[in-house]
Amino acid sequence: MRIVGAGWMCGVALLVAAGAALPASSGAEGTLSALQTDMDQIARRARPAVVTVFAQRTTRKPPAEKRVRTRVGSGVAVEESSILTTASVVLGAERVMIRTANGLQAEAELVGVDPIFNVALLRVPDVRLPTLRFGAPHDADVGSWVISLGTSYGAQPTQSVGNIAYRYREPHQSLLQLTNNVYPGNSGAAALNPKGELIGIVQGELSPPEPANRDPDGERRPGGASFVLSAETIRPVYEDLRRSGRVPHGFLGVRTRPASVTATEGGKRTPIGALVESVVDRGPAQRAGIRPGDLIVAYERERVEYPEQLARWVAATRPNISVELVWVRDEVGHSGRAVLGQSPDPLPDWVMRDPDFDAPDSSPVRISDLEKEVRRLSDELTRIKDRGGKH
Amino acid sequence: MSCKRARNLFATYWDDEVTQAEREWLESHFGACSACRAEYDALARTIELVGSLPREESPADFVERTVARARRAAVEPDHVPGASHRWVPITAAAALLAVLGGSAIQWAGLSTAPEQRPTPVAIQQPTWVGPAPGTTVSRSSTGQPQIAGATNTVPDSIFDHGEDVEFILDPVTLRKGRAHTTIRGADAPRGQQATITF
Repeated sequence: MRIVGAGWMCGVALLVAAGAALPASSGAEGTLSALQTDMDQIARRARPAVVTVFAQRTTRKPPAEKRVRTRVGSGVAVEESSILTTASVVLGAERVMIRTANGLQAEAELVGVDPIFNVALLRVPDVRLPTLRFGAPHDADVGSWVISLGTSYGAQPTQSVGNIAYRYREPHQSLLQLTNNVYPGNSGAAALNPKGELIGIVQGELSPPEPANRDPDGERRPGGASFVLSAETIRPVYEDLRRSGRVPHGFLGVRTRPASVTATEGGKRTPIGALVESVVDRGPAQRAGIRPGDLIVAYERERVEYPEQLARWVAATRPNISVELVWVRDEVGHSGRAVLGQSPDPLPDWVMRDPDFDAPDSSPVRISDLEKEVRRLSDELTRIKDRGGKH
Repeated sequence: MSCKRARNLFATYWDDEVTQAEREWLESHFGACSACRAEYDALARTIELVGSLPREESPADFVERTVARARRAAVEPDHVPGASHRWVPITAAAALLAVLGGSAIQWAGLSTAPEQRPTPVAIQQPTWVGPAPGTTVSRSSTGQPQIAGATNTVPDSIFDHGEDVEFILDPVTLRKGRAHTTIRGADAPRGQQATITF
């Protein structure tokens, strides 16, 4: 009897619980529906500001075969006739065109391109575009929701909802890692906060660790992690490009090569900094006390592992800014401040290099030996030529 | 003195309207002055909390109905707005009722179905302002819509993504907690360089 009573009470409790759960689930459904409506509204309002960018250039392959190659990416209107995209889409292009969400096609002028930050600014005088506002930096914290809008194959729109998973902070720039899916052609796409403001420009996705992960046709498939350059990094770059067509970059005045150590015999090499081969006479590094043979190990309290990293940080810093450097000379640490100059080269040749080529396993000593050998052979050739001229 | 200068910059720093030099100066000051850092964090947290408060929405005709009811209940006749300040308490009462009404609807768990949400504003579309008027939409051989009159410059072959068309998605490399975008640009130098100058 007791058991029967207890069972009856449990049944009533379950019914009550189920009854209570019903309105809750209906409420949750309403919330999700409202959420989707809000997301759709943000995307629909922002979509007209997102364009497809086509950049054409002519390549010549031996024997003088002329081919027109087109790079396709996305772009975001930040002014009625100004579009931000990535430098990787338009770099070296002879002709740039855009296509709007409602099918308008127009020629674009390249106002400026900056490969250090991977940002380019286009001007489209023939089209008036709705624009997106930049969001405040505090609206782009880890966990914040993000809607990414771009275009992919066939200029078809892509849309993805995710959140900020991580913020990579480097001196004077930051990259946000998103959980949003991105697609080929999304470089230059918009990343929006829930207010519909621009929190960044899509750069790309995590490169696969092994070439074997690519499909047999060599096409890149959507990955799980995407990266955007944050709005606070883009804004000053955009202002410079708009004002003068180029971004002033810092210059340290050093010529460096990689340096690494091996913990055990035959073990993996660990990069330890940028080894200074020479310094520019009366340049920022020389004035700070850096000499040839010094090993630069830290920049603005961030550990330096390889020269490209340091070069990128220096270039991302404005000229005339005082920076803190730590270097090692004869196993003794030194520190000092250098006031950066302005880089004379708007497109340094190290920018577009693949850092994978500088894998720690590669031996910098062998390369330096090779350079010496090339110099020796060049000198030898000059001597032979001189001797031939005298005869 | 420097703390005073830092605090004067808080609002513009929050709005991201400081110059690069001001930003760097302020951030270096934050590194050195924990009091300013704490004060700024408190300010940021306060603004975020205020910003995160739910925005209540009321039915589209709620304000009109409330104002009409308030007018009917008013002892004095209506006045032309601007002629006096008597409309202020009416508007304030209407706004208060709107907020309270919205809260009551929310509290009572009434449905806020999408069809009851305010009508979205008209979405602005890109417009052609160039020399040729573009109004007629036609279809290209690939089915892509094209605007006649606009510069018909993008060839259909691009939509086929053939061998000479590359859809850009830059690879990002992660190494020891650092992310780096690799630009595989046009005529990018290849191979190793032992030394670099910067």
